Amino acid sequence: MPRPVLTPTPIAASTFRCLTRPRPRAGEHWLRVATCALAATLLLGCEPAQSTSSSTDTMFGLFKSKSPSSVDPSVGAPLVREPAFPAGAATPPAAAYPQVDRMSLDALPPAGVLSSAVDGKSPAEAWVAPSKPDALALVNVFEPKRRCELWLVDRKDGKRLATPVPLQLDANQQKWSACSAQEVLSLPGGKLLVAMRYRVPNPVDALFLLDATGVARKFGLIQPDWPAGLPSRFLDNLQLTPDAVLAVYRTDSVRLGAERYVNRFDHLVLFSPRHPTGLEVAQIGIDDGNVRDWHFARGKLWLHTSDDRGDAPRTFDWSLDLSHVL
Amino acid sequence: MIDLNTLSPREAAYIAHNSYFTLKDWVKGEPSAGMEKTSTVKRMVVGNGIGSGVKGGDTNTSLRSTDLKGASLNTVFRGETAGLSTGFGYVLSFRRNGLNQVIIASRGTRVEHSLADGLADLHAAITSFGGYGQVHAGFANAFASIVPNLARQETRIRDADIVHCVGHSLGGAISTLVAAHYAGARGAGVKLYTFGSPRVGAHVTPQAFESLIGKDNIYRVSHDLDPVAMVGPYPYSHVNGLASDANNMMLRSPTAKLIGVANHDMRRYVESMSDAARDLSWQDVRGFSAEVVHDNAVLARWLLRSVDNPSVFTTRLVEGLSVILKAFAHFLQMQSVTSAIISGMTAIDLFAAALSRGIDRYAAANPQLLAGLQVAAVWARVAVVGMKFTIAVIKAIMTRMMDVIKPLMMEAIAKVGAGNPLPLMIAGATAITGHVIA
Repeated sequence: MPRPVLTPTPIAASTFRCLTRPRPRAGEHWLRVATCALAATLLLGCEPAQSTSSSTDTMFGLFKSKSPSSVDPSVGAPLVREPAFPAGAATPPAAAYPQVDRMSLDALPPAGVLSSAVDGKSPAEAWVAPSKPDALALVNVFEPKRRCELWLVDRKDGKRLATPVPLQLDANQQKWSACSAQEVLSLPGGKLLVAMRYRVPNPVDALFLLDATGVARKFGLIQPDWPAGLPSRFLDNLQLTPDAVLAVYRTDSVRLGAERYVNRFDHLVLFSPRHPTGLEVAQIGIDDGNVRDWHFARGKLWLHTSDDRGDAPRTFDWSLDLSHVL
Repeated sequence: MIDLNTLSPREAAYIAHNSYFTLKDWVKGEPSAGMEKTSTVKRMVVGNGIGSGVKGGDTNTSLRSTDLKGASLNTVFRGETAGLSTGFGYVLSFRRNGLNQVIIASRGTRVEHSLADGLADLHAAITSFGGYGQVHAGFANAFASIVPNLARQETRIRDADIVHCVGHSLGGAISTLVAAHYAGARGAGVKLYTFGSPRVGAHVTPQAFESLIGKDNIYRVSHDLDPVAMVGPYPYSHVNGLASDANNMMLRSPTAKLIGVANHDMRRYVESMSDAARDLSWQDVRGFSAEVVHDNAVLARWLLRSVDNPSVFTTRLVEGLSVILKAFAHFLQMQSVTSAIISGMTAIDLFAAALSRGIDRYAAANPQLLAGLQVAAVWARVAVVGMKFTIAVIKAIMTRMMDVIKPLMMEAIAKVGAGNPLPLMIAGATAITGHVIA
């Protein structure tokens, strides 16, 4: 479903975008508004940054961003361009909910016993989330072929798997030749955010939200953080408060040249007791840079981004007030 | 069961990837002619793997995160292509499973050459190689340029229990010659790992290399829609090129549906060979390969559909292509070409092989094939009649296919960001068909 956006038209978006540039002094305010409005009218955008989903075609369409950033209306605040990224970021708070443990299984489920000793040689491994009333175990089985299973852990014996939970990841999953969980993030409410790789038979990466019912939400196909190099990373997270975490995933890769890629969009998703299945607070388009650093303080999210498409990277700093959605 | 005398898929893929750092300033994302400092190569190959364009942490293809973390970088060697001497690869040694093992890594080709110099290589002739048969002269020249530099490591290479030769793209082609060279000199204990390699040898040379190195010691990985792995056409062929070869590991391409340059990137090969849950084994990779359809008609359809928005004639031709290709395959079988060899051919190979063996005479006596070719003639706007009809139609189809492959192949190897295009040193299609890439 198309994302609702803050500004309804390209002109308004561009005007708004200009207003969100480094803040004018009070005396210059109206002069700047007029200047921005004129420039926006002529060029349909002084620079791509602020959200818009309008598809109005004009002779100046070449100047429009093909990768617009957008902010969810519930956030109630725009993405604001800042002159600098704050120095000396504070250490994020510890999560108030249990984190996943990576464990090995000495035999295939359900017989295998969980152990914290992971040596990469066991027939199966599991990410175990000690949620209540039942701990969840997302199990990577490596034999005879790679597959993924979801289990409830035995309430009496926390080292054993008790009940399988059917994983309905995709309508065509029976055609997958292999499947394994690549990265797992523990979320409030005992849910798991899982970057999954499956083969059809080319490798495909997708993001899922799992809970004791199986799949709670499928986010769709994702891309690695290409500019970050190898081994590929699919998920990053920032703890905002003890019970709220922000996750970022990427989509729509763009090939710049031999061996060089960036992603067209970074998606910032908030998970908290208010948003147990995730609220995508913002989608950052490549014109505004891929997120390279972030920081949260006093209700405000700070982003340092880089657009690496040109000969020299263009970097930006942004802020987004999340206080309404936390 | 892990074979400690064989590089794992991840190890081999990382080596093929990090060998590019021997090229000057590759680490900065701005490659130029020259050779990178040994200290930088060492950092990227066995050190922290952090380059100026790479975010912090263990986010690269350094072998530090693998079982080869204790390996020693012995030398970075030069090679010469298109008249330019540049960093071309490295020699690494390590001890595993009680054996002394050596890695000879060769990088692929990139932006350091000039277009003019490279174009001359496109027309390079086939040349003989070490008495084993005929190979592409451009690859042989590049190989000859690194031999003196490798000679300084001769004792180490000769005395090693196992020598692993690894490369991507042009590096895969050069590694094939390096492996054949040392397999001949040593007699045994050489293993070859290539990713997206073009074909190196012509006629019976690949079979000679297989006998020399051992088919089981050749791990050839390709994406099914990697344009570089499709050249040069018959009479060139791949080592372990038969669909039935266990170590012919043709994987489904990342783009899945279209022939494209992204399918050639080593970064994409690393992705295909990766699983963060647990490293893949070669058996896993063979399993993924087993699911890829080896059908020379499949590629032909893609190539022809890529030519234009399919016209009615194109659609009819594509639909009739299977009939034509089956007839050609039947013809080649009558010429004592085994079905195993035919299944390893692309449609372009099949056409070229059939042309070289007199398919025109066969077609003249085969009404069904002739009817299929007449459909193709309309599509290709071929007006030739008489004895040269079949040849003209086949060449027209091949030209269309090559027109799709050529720019893709050039793009695959030619551009880094805003860099200038450059060629791969491939002699192109055969003299038989007159299709020289240029």
